[in-house]
Amino acid sequence: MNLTRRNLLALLGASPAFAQGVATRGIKAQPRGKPSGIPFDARFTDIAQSAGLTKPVIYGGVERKNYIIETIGCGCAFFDYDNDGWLDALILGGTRVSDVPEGATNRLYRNNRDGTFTEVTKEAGLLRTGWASGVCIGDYNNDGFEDVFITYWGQNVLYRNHGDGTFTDVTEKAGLKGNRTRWGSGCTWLDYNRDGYLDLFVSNYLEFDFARAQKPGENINCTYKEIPVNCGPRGLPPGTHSLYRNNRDGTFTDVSSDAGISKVKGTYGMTVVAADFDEDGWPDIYVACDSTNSLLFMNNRDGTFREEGVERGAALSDDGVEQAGMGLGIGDYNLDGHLDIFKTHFTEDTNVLYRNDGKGGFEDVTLSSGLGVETRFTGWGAGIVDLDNDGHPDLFIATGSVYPELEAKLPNAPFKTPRVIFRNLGNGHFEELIETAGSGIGAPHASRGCAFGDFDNDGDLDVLIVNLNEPPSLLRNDLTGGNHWLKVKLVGTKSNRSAIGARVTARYGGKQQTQEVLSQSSFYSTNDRRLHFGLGPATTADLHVYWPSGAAQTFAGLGVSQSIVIQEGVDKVIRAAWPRPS
Amino acid sequence: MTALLLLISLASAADSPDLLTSGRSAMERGEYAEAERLFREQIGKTPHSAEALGNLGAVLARENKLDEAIAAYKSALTADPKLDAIYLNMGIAYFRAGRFEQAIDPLEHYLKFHPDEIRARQLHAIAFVENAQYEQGIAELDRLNREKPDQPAILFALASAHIRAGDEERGKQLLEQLGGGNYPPGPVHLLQGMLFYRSKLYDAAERELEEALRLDPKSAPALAALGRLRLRVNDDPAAIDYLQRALAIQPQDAESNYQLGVLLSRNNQEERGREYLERALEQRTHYPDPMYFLAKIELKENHPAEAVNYLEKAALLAPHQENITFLLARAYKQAGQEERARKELAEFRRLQAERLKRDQAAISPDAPLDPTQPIAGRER
Repeated sequence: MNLTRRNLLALLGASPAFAQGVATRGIKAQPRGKPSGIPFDARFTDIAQSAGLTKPVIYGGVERKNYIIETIGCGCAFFDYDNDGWLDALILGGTRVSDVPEGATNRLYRNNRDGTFTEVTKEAGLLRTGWASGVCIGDYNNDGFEDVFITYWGQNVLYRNHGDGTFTDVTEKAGLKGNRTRWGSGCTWLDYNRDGYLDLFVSNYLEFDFARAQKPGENINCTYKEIPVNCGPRGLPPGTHSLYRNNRDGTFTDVSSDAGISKVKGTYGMTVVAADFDEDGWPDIYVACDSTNSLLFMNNRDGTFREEGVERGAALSDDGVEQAGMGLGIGDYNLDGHLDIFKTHFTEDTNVLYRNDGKGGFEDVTLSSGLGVETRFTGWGAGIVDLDNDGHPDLFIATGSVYPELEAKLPNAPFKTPRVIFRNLGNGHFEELIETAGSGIGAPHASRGCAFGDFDNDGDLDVLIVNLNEPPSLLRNDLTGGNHWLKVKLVGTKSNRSAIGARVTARYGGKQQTQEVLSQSSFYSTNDRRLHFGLGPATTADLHVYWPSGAAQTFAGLGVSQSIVIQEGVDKVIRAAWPRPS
Repeated sequence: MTALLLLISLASAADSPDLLTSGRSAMERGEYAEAERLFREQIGKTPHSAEALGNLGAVLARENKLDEAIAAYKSALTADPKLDAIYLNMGIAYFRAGRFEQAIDPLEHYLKFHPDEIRARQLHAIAFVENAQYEQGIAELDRLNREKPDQPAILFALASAHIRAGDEERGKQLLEQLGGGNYPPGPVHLLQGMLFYRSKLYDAAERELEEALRLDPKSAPALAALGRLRLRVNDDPAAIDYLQRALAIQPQDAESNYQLGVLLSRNNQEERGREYLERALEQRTHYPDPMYFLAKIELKENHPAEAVNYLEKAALLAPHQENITFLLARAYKQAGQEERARKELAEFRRLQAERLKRDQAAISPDAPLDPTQPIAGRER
């Protein structure tokens, strides 16, 4: 029995498998090596229930999902909406196709500063039912309070933060109301023209219309392993992406065409990250794309962008195959001072780690770094984050299937799957940890977005996770060991107030690590915008700060295990007012 | 095929009739070693004797020493290029060695002078099919089938060729003809299994193939097909086992060698994998798939020049294959040939855009790629 060559390559994992709607390469996992035996001091416990995060994230059908819109899910945010120094939690939500259940809304929880939260959605003016996707946080009007942009299937929404605990929907007033239904997915604030005001980039996933949507099994893009499932993304018209320039008066102008964004077609855009990948001082935009090329828009420094994902090695797998790009972790995993990209994918494919050469050229180091050992789970939220403060950023992945109907027919295709940690061994290699990192890691859920931040201000990174049709998880990091850390909040003055795009290189114990303030990463989510550096045993650290305005500042010999605030142009750091809890 | 193996009898003045006659007699008695000895003795006396060399080739082929037989045939043809029968013998030897691509030329040469030789035509056609040149193979088998409609072997080969070429409908028709005749049931189940596979009816395919294997436990095609079925569901250990069993019976199957090579490579047995990939390439020199995977291994081992070598050949054979183009760009880049890498990536972009357009049009002809048009405005 012979097959056509293309199909044969597909079977053997060299080409996308086309008999389904989503890209996966049918990759076999690499064999696992022996455990390193090196202790990992972080332990994660899900305390959502006791912390008051008890309401489920309603999102599509529970037992089956007939439409792709029910499957993708949404993100969340750790941000300090009331500027009290304690992270609050915004958790997006969806609805159902057949009816709108009570409680189908996004939810804002205020941090009570004692390990618990109080829901303030209604008081804050954030009640809203719909198919929410992504969130990005940024102070677009530079008034000192973080504003919220949420993408939707239907109409995206901009909420202005008044600073008194309330928000107002200013979408129309800001000129962001569309004239047709689109599926907004990822979004990020960025100051692409470096005028000190945050502009807005929005990715769009695909064109979806209930009236025209096909049913499970109706074509080859509506099957998975020959089982009928919801259709897509393949077979559905892809979205185009949008850039809105901030007019500095509370309104925005759609410059997608002039900036060269909307001419890039044919991709299913998901999570967006704006960061200066080529280190030329101008923010670039990376879009993780599902089952199509991921995009890298390089900033031409004149208000336009050129898309160079393929040319720069960050669009595809190392054999040129589209992958199901969902979530993004951005960080300096190998401590070379450059921002690398970690992207999550569908089951039976590896996630990918792209190493940045410092000029915005990327090399796929997935296999050489040991990440090829895991192909069982569909990955969503992601981070390059130092979970054990040893000075080497680790990888975190929130996972979950998109097909609840499969597990009855395929025992190896559970809908709920565990979280995954790849701890950084510091030699370019990672080691997978699931069961040994605490009960919150091994617990199975159908997770989507996640946000990283220190909600209890105890000097380690916790994780907030969206679970479909379940309450969220709040993984408290109970870190032991004596590693030090430094948490840095940046406040722009000439640059945008949120300091989005500011870049910090920390030097500690003979190492250096770079981080950048991001508006969105993980999966459709926003992390604590205070940069968290694990320092290992180092007892001092130097910081070099590069502001979006072009200004640079250096701070030497900083004490460790403290939170500091750095204001642009002010040479003295401020020890943060928020205390560690007793 | 042995019935077609022709012994040469063209004794020249320099040949010793005794040695040649004795050798042929020994061969007819099945005493191949003795025959070989006698022919070699003759060649020692008359090194350029086409008859002795040709007969040596024939006995070596009987002894399954196919490479040596081919070498002897070549020497015979150098001595006397007019010996048509040697071309046929050489074609058969190549065929039996699984070197179908090389079998085509000598068979073609023979058929120029013997155009009505049915079995040579059949071999010639099957060599095309085995070399994935389906159009030529099917055309010849079609002609043969029309001329000899009562020969199930030809019908079987034709049905198999259609299925392999992707024309399931025609394959099915021919299979029905076969089923109605007295053809052995094993191969019929094999073909039926192949048809089901093509139709994505994998469970049914497995049943038919298992039945074919039950009826003939040494059916290499059934074993190979079952291996591919296991491969489809990523059951690598079973796929490897089936393919190894298939190759133990029929080591010349280029595609099974290729698949086993990739399977072993991806299961961390790269050195063994490489051997099978190289074997596949020896058997079918114009086979881009093993070239691609060998290039991947070379790149991984930081041998970009070797990878470029494989990939440039593969790209010539399969110029529209995105994966090859992309990997070639990577290889050029790794080899420091930036400008070539850029050009190749541009070509990759072009191929990818064309494919996306085709895929989209095939699935949703009413949904243009440009979604900036309001959905309501689109005609259904």
